[in-house]
Amino acid sequence: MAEPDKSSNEWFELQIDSDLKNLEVAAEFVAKTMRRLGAGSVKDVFDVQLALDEALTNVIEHAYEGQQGGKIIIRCALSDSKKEFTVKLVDYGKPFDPKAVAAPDTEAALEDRRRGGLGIFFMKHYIQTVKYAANGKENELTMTKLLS
Amino acid sequence: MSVEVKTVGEVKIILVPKRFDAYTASSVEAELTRLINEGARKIICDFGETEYLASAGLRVLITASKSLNRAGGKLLLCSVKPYVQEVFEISGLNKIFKMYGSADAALQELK
Repeated sequence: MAEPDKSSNEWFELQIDSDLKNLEVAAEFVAKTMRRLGAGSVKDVFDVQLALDEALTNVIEHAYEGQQGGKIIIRCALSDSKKEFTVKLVDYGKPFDPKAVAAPDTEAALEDRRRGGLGIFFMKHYIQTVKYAANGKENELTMTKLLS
Repeated sequence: MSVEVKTVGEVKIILVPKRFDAYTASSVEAELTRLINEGARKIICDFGETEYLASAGLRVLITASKSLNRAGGKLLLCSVKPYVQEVFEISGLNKIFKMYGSADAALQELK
């Protein structure tokens, strides 16, 4: 178990449109923020980028049903202890709880592979804590990575 | 976006983009589908330039590999970088896809 960690008050924010083109923009933003804060190793940055990428793809494809013009806010912060990096995604589309999706069978043969589920499986693999909250107006996904 | 394809004899080599994410996946999928429909049966996906692979990219590889298998063809991968390799391992797909150190090594296999 990770020890309790006081969250930072310094948040970095980026707003993007629900367009898959912006996956790269979001990945760059998080990488730049992590590097500037001295948060984690190169591998940590890769892990956070991958989890964010999968989460954003879900928001664009499910919450906004692949339509452009939806607002997505990305907020990230390093904890005071510098041990945890948190990324929050806020969207205003249809609620979609990635935690409710069944895990894929990673032992399955090629012919038995389904198309879905892998992205969420990656998210959970690369990030230690994933929380989801929907209040009818906005959906918020919080991902926290324990840095190496 | 455009996807570069190299032809060596009857083998098609696709240069996988730097970021193989949900955005670029549709272009790679369209190119793979076109090549297979035009009769290509031996395809190499060259990951030499690829620094980033998301699940959307894996889905494209799974679909293309399935259709090639059914048509009696083969899809091989080459020059996969360590972090990208890990994505294959986590999903268990490293056991399904054949990977080679270089495009030349993959080409030898298809001869």
